[in-house]
Amino acid sequence: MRVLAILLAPWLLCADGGALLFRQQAGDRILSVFTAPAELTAGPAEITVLVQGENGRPIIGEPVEVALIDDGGTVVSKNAVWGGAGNSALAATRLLAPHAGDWTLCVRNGARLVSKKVKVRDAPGRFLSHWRAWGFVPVLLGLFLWRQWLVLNGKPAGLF
Amino acid sequence: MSAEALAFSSWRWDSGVAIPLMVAAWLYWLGWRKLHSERPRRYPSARLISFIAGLSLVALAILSPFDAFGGLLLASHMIQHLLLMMAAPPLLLLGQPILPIVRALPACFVRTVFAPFLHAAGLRRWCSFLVHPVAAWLLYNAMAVGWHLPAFYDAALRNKGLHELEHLCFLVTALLFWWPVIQVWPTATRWPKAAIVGYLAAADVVNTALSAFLVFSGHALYATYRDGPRIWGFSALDDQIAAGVIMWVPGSVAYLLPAVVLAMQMLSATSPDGNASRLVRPSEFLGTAEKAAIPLKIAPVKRAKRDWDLLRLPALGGILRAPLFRRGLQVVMFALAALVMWDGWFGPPVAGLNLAGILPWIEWRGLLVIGLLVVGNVFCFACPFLLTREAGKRLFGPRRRWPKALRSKWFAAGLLTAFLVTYESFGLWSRPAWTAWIVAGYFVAAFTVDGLFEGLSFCKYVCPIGQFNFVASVVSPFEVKVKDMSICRACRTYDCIRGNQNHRGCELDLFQPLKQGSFDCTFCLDCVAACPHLNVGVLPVVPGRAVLVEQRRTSIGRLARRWDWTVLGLVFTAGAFVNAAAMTGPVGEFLMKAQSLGAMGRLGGTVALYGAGFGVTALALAVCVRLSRLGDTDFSLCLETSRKETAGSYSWALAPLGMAMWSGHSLFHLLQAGSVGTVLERLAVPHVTLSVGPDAVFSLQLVLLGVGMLMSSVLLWQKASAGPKGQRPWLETLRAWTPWAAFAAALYVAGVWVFLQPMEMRGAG
Repeated sequence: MRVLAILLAPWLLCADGGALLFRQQAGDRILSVFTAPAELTAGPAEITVLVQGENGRPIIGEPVEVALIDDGGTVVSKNAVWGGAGNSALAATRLLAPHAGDWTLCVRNGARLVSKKVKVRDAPGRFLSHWRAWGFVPVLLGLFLWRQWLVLNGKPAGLF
Repeated sequence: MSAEALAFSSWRWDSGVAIPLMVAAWLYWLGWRKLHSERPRRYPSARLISFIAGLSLVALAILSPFDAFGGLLLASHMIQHLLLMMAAPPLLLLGQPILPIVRALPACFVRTVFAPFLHAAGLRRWCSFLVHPVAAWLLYNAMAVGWHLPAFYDAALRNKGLHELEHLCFLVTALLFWWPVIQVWPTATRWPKAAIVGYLAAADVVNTALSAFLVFSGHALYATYRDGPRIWGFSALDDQIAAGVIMWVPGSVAYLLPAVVLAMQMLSATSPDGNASRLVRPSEFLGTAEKAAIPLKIAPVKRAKRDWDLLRLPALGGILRAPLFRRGLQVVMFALAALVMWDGWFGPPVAGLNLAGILPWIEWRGLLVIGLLVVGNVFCFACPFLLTREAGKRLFGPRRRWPKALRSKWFAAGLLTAFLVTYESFGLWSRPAWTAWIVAGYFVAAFTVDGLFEGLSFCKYVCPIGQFNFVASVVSPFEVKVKDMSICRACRTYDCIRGNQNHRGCELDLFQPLKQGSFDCTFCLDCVAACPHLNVGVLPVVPGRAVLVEQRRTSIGRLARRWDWTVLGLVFTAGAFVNAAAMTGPVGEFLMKAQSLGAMGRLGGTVALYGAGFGVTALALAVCVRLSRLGDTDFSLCLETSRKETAGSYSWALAPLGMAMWSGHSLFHLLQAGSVGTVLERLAVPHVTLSVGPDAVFSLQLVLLGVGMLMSSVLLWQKASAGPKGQRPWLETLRAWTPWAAFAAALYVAGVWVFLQPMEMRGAG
């Protein structure tokens, strides 16, 4: 069932970091937070976190919780999952920002907490980042019209 | 786990990359096998190994840790680029892939889809220009240098879509670059080998300059790596120097090795081609089969007899034909319906915890569309309401016919509309008890209607689910259909509709030889069992083709002249968009405001919403009819009836877009809700919880909508090209097609907008 789901879900495990949003030291850890899309938009966003020790070596398996809090007090939070991203060094989760506006992105790693103010924009940018899922429409439609033109107007020429 | 171990475990699956690669490998293998058996010297095993190795390197570049760590390590990213530009493309081209892939495709597909392009002189000139050494060299090096400029490189690392575009540019331009070096069929050899050696050496100079810049620049050029975390302990500058060295040394080898091979060939006395520029003759490569597959005349494929039948497959066919199998499925569905009613009345009132909230509104809808997209009208095949309907028939033995005034789709289209409005107004997804009453009401209605009237009156004239399935199965890939029409012409018993002593005929009055599409067909397979010649089966068809048939159909007549059917189709299509839009934030807010006025306010708001949706659709339809016939000179086409026919005919071509919207919407709930776990919990079945990420679902929705848009556009074109045409047929067809295509595009944009909105997870919580 899982294999089938993975085969059918084209981008189920595609999170591999995204763009670096911020990097902060918290106690004896350095937390780097990546987001995809790079500019957060209303709707789902992939958040991945790299936890490093003071020597810079990646640390995996520790609990990581990610939360989005808006100025009105709305909280959207989830635990990040190790192995949920393409890059095994990252803990990944998906958060759904219900609306655009000013939010604070908080990441908790045990008792350590880092945060940053982020601007969540309206959704259309999300459409552009999925170009593989819609780009085939204009291309194939153009090819179809061209084919029809060739069939109806073109003079058959020798292939060779 | 060490950082090194993490790197080696960071593989990922991306079906958008992996599936095309697997399809390419499979097609190549099919074609290569044929060519290898005919000309083993021209297509030796080395070609197969080379092509598969090329595909494997593309997969390695995109799905391996090189990609996963590309955002953290420039050296890893550089290896990925080298694989895409210097390793995979020459291997792919050494497989001489064009001919094997053409040989693997069905001849009719090559003839209808590819042949017009292959014959287009302009296209061939343009392709020749692209693979000309000068153009290919410039394009390739422009891409290599351009994408490595810090602004573009960092932008690609910040944006996933741009990053994918960068890889695509590298791969495509590299294929063009290596084309003249490998001399891929069917292009002619343009330059002598000595010139190609210079071509490769010049590319190496650019590569050397670029890599030297990375190595000796003295500071980290790319902000992403400069500001990002370092996980292996070495600095961003060290990483950049390592990347430069990787680009320099293996990159130079990739250019110089083939240059050396070419030089040796030039110097060798046994070289078959020498230095002369020579046109590669197709007769060297093409067998009879290829020549037949790429003919000059593009003729339609005529097929008198269909052989492939789902019902004749080993094992599966026998199971599908067995009446007991169908009855068994109906009993299972009946048991599930009974569970829904029981839980709806006596279970928890929270929809997300109740089978009546989950099974019908999330699971069943999703599975229904999957069945329609993959096979056909499978729900009607397993419909549980038929059990009570059979009971009614046996109990009352009806003799009356369904009232003549109601023998159309008007009543059913009205019921479907009422159902959609009721669902939205009263929030049926959140009311398990109401849902249970609706299911119970369905059983009573089937029992009563078919207990009182003969035939399958309930399915044909009443059932909204049935009407939905009849319209949706326009896009289904299978149909109950006659195999050999000549047998039907000789038949005088008409068992498929009349029945015989052992089997009943079609209760929906569908006469198989005149049946087109699955309109009114419940997949009951009575006609299959009744036909004494075994001439009816479940056959593959081209999805959407049924709407192109203009001649008279059994039990319907001409579809374009049936205004009730047209309205039913439009309710289906427009309803798909309005139903999904009602769940989005902006429309939801409007409905909430309406609800604040009271229960009737919500009903009023929903009626207004559907009224607006259907009104806009009707208006657009009228405008499209008007615009598409602006240039008509035939006076008879201006008659009122003819306008109706035009609307009726074209509107069916929009059904695939409607089905795409229903599918995207239903699958969103099925995949996102994670409610399978809840259902299995309620049924005390051990399970693994499964939920698919929102980005994956959004991609799936866009793909479905895109396929629907393409299908509708092609069908609209076929409709537009059906009429008589003058001197400029393409332009005249384009003129008639454009307004309808614009309407389809507007629906597509509306669908994308709906899918972009954060959606309410109905029935899941």
